[in-house]
Amino acid sequence: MSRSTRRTLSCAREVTDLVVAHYMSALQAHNEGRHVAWSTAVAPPSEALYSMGVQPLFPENYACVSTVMKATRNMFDVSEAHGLSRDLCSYTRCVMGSVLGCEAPLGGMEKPDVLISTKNVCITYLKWWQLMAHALKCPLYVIDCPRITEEIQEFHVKYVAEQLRNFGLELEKVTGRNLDEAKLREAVRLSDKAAELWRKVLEYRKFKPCPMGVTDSSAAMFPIVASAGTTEAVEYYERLLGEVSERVKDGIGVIEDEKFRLLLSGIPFWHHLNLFTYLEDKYGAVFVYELYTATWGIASLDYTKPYESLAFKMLYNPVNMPQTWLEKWVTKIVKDFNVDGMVLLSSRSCKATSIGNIAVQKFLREKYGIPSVVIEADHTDDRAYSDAQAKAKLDVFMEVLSAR
Amino acid sequence: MPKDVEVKNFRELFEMRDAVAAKWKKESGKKVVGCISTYIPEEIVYAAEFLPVEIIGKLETFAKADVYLPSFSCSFMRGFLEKLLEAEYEYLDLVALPSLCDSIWGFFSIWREISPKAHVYLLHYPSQRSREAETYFTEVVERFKTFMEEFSGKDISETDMRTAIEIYEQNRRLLKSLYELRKKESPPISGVEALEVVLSSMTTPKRIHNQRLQKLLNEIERRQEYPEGNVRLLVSGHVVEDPNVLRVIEDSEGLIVSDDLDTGSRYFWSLMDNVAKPIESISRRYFELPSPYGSSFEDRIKYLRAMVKEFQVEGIVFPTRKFCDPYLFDYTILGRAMKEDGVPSMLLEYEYPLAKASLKTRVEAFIEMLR
Repeated sequence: MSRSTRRTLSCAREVTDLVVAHYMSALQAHNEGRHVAWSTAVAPPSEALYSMGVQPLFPENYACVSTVMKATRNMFDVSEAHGLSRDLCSYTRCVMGSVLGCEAPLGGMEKPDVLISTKNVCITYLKWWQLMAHALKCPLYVIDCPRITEEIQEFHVKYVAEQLRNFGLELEKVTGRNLDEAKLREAVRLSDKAAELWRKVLEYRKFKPCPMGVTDSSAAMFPIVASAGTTEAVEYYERLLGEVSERVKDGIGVIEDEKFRLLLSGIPFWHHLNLFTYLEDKYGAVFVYELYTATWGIASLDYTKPYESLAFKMLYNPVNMPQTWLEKWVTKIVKDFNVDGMVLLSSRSCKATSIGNIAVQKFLREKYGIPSVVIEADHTDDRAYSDAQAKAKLDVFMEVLSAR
Repeated sequence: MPKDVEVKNFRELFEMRDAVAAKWKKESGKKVVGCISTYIPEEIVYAAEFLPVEIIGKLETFAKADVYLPSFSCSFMRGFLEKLLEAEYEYLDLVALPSLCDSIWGFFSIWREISPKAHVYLLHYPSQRSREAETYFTEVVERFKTFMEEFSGKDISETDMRTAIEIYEQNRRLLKSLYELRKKESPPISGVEALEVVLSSMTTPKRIHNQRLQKLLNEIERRQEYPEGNVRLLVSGHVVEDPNVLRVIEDSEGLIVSDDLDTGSRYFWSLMDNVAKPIESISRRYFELPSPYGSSFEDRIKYLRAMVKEFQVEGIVFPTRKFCDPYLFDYTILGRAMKEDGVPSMLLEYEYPLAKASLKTRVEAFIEMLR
C-alpha cells in the first residue's frame, strides 16, 4: 500500500465535468445554429474560432478521453479493418474508428462543419485530417507551418499569419458570420492570459515539496488545450493558481515524503497513468515538470497583432523547434526545478514526440551527467503494453538515482 | 554482339554510384550534395556546379544508427545514418533534405547533434497547395539558391539556371521516352531495369546519363530478349532504392510496366511549362508533384488513373516500407479508389532485412488472383 497519501487538487477533480461539458458544447453549438470545427490540438487557432462562435473539438483529446475510459479497442479494430496500419498514430486509429462508425464514448464527437490542421507537429496532422475530410466530406483547411531549424524569423511568421488571415475568410464563408477583429483581439488577450497563468502554475512546482504532480497537471492542462481564448479558461487557471500557491504557502506537497524530483518528456500513456503514482508511492518520486503539459503555455501573445501572435504560437512548440532549442529548454528546467532525473516516454506510433528521445538521453548523460530512462510503449494503444516491464525498467532507473 | 549491354550498364552505373561520384568530385574539384532528389530542386544544385545525388543508405543492418534512431523510424533514414556513421559518405559535402516527414525531421535534428560541423540543409516542402504556399515555396527555393551561392562561392545567374533546366528537362524527356516503350504489349525492359535506369539518373552526372540514355533508346528496340512476365503491374510508393523489392514482384511472374514512385515516374514525369522565370518554373514544378506531402488525394488518384490507363495496368502493388506513415495513410484511400475503378491492388509492406520468401508468397497470391 502507498506510503504516502496523494493529495489531488480540487481543480484537477473538476476536469472530468469540464470535459463532458466541452463535448456537449458542440452539440449545443449546433442546436443554436453555430458551427463546429475539429482542430489539431497543438497551438490551434481556437481564438479565431471562439471569436466567431465556432466551437472547436480536438480529436487528439477525444482519443485521450476514450483511452482513459478504456473504450479504444473496438475503435482500433474498426480502423485497422479499414486498412490503417497498426504502426500508424494510435490517436488517429482511435478517432478514425469512431469516424468510420464504431460506437464511441459520449456518443462520438459532434460532427464538424470544418476541419483545421495546423501541421506544426507531425505529418500525421496532415494525413489524419485529410482522411477525416475524405470520410466526413467536410472542408479542410491546412495551415502549413515550416520547421524551425535555427530560430523563428519574420518570414516564417508572415507566411503562417497570411494563411491564418485566409483561414479567417474561409471561416466567414463556412459560417456566414463576420470575423470581428476586435473580438479576435479579445480572444487572443484571454488566451495569452490563460497561458501566462498556466506558466505561473507550473513555476510553483519549483518549490519543494512540489504542490502539483503529473496526474493533476495532465488533467489541469485540459482548459488551455480546449478553451484557449475564453474567459472560462482564464477563470479556471486563476482558481488553480490560487490553490497551488496556497499549497506552497502551507508547505503541502503532492505527496508527503518527496525524495526525488523528475522531469517527464513525451505523451503520457493514458491507459496506464498508474505508472506515475507507482513512482510516487514506491519511491517518493514526483514529476515536477512535463514538457508535454508545458507546451500549451510557452508562447506569449500580443493581442494587438492577433494573426502574427497566433502564427508565432503555432511555430513555437517543442516538436517544431530545433534540437538545440529543446536542449536549452531542458537544461534550464533541470536547473530551475532541481531535477534529479528524466523519464522519456517513447510512443511507437508517435515518431514526432519520440524519435529524438535516445539522442536527448545521450545528450543529458554526456553533457550534463543527468540520468534518464526511456520507456517504450504506446500512448493510446495498450494491446502490446506490459505494465510489469515498464515498472521493472523504472525500478532499475530509480535504483540508479538512489545510488547517487 | 549481345544487345543487352546498354541496359546492364545502368545497373553498373547505379551500383558503382559511390565511385562515380567520388571520381567526378576528384576530377572536377567541385562538391557533391546528397539529396532526396525528387523533392530537392536539383537544377539549383547543378547551376552551382555541384553534383546532386540521391542519398541511398545501408539496407540490411543499422547497428550504428540504432544508437540514435529508434526502431520505429523508417529504415530509409536509419540506413542513411548508418552509412554516414560507417564513414562511407565522406564524399558528401552537403546533405539537402526536404521537410517531408517526421523521420526526416528526426534525422535532421539528430545528425546535427552528432555531427555539428556537417553541412545539412532543410528545405521546407509545403503541406498544402494554396497560392500563398506556392509563393512561399518560391521564396524557399530562392533562399536555397542564395544558400548554394554562399556555399559554392559562385553567383548563380539566370543563364546557369536555364542551362541546368535544359539538361534536366532533357533527362526527363529521355526517361519519358523510355517509359513510352513500356506501353507496348511486350515492353522491352523490365520494371527492375527501369528502376535501375531511374536510380542511376539520380546518382550520375546528368550529361553522362543523358548520353547513355540516348544510346539506350537508339538500341533498345533491337533488344532480343524481352523481359518475361504476364500480368501488367504498376508499383506505387516512395523511394525504392533497392531493386530487390521490385525483383520479388517480377520473379513472381508480374511485369512492372509503370510506376508512381519517388524513384520512378514522380522523379521525371512532369516537365516545366515555360522557363521565362527560372526560379518560378523550377519551384512550380516541384510544388505541383502529386505526392502524399500536401497534394490532395484526388491529385494522386488522378495521376494513378492516368498511368493505369496509358500503360494498360491490370493490378497495382504498393510496396511500402514499414513505418512510412505518409504512404501507409495514402494507401487506404488510393487502394479503395483503384478498387472502385476495377483495378485490384495489394499493400506490400516490407522491412529490412528483407524477407524475400514471404514477400514473394504474398505477391504470388496476388498475381494468381489477377490471372
